[in-house]
Amino acid sequence: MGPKTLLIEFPPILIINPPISDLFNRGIAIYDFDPKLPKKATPITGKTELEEDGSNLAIVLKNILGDKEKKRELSNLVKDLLPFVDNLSVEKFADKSLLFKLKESYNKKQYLPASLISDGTINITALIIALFFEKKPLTIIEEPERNIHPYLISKVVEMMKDASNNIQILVSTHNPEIVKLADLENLLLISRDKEGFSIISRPSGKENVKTFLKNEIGIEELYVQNLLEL
Amino acid sequence: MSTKYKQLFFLVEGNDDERFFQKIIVPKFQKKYGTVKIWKYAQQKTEKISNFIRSIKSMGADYFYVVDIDQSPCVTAKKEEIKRKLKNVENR
Repeated sequence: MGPKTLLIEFPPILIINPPISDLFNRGIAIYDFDPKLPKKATPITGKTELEEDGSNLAIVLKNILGDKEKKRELSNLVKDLLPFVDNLSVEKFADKSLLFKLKESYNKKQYLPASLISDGTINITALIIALFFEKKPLTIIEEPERNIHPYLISKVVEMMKDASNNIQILVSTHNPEIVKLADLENLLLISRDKEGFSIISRPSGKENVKTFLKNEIGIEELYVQNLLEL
Repeated sequence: MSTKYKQLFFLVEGNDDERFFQKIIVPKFQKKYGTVKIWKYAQQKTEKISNFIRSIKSMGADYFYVVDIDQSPCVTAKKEEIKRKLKNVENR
């Protein structure tokens, strides 16, 4: 692909772990979670696969929680990132809508409805489901670190690396912490040239980047200072 | 390597300096250099600045280290102060 080629005409070729036929049979998932949406009740008739914006999280959760094995797996994954979460549940209302709720270790007597749950907790729950329960061969996630405390980002990256043993994951981010924690070889930088065309490059192949890293200038520092494209 | 692909770095303190250099200074050097980049060093530790200078020197790039004169009595005194702080910075 030449440097002046519009990406929309020639989509970039990705290195994909599963065979191409498998990819098209089982599909590609794109997620751009909006944590405000799962805070509202969802009609029970909604899609059973997780929506791109995560709006039907309650329906997907209900199906997972109905299976003993899956429930245990979900509970373990959530507890690893959010140790204060004791239990996840879904409440069904008279109008046949569903609402996600959870119980925290701080108050064992009462469930918190989704409307009172933090955006980060909802984002992490949706991420876990996308990575370990939806299992699309190619899973694309837009800014997975949104609303998440910086301390937890390393665990989120670790979780994505674990999931990538089974699926190909493509993540877009502007977060230096994610850039720092992803291995250099996994990074693709998208920048724009003087004419506004998008260019994809691999920082790992650049001599200047290697020189900076050798002199203990971190990859996240180079990214923040716009020096990865050198 | 031709002069066109030579690299130039401006090490500036913060956003105000960056705005000035980006708008006024960088365009004046763009014909002479293949790449002209700005690096903001505000809130960076001295060791990090030294590491940055070491990196760009080993790339064979040219650089300007830009500082405010602040309380220093003259340019020479300021230069001495910088050289005491950053051992690998060159005085030209």
